[in-house]
Amino acid sequence: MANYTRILNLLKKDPIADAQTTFNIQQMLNDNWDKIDAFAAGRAQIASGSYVGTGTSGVNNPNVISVDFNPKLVVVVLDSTDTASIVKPVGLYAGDGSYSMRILGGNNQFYYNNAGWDGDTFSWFNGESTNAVYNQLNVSGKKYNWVAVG
Amino acid sequence: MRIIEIAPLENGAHRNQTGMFAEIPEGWALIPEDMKTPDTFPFVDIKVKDGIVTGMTAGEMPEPEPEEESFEDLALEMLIDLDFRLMMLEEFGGIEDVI
Repeated sequence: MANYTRILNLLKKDPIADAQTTFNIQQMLNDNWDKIDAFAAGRAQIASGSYVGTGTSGVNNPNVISVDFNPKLVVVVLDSTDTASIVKPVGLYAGDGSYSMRILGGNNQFYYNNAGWDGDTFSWFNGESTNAVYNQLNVSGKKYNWVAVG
Repeated sequence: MRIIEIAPLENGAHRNQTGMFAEIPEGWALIPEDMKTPDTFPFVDIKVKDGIVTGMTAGEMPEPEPEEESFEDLALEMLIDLDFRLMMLEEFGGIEDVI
């Protein structure tokens, strides 16, 4: 006799009791696939990675990372192995519609970057005239790690 | 998986990323796992064939950016300046001559 899995309620046939049952593609396969797909769609998506800074900044030189979902949260940090930098800034994008990534600098001040997602890429830039490379988290040769949650 | 943007930026550096990618974005190329990157990375010259980097050599690096003065540096400078003023005050007296 058929039964169902505990979490996703997927149909399971009994190899002995249901041995003579006609194979029903919709019931035995497709309905289960739909349940798995719906389950996956409701789960949080996470992506992570790193990049090495290029020393550029501004609207024509945004930082870009490949994220194939609309992130609700993005955090960027200078790599912890970078002992040469006393100041370790942190970038935070909260996906709150402001399209701003806040960079917390070593002086405990926030610097604002324009940020957004275009479908498969998340990008941000700092338009200030001074220290823009630092406040965009893009000092040349420095490694930055990021994580995005959607 | 490490990828690099094929076209360099205006300063000669290449945007780059390390992570898991479902597909390589257009205009980017895959850096093979066993390919060594020069110390100048991301200031490199690359050769690309069929979306894969086949060669990478050191590029020309621009002048280093001036280091941002940290809060600790600023505080130290202020302390040194204050110490100097106190020394002058002790040495010569007359606060109006020092400040």
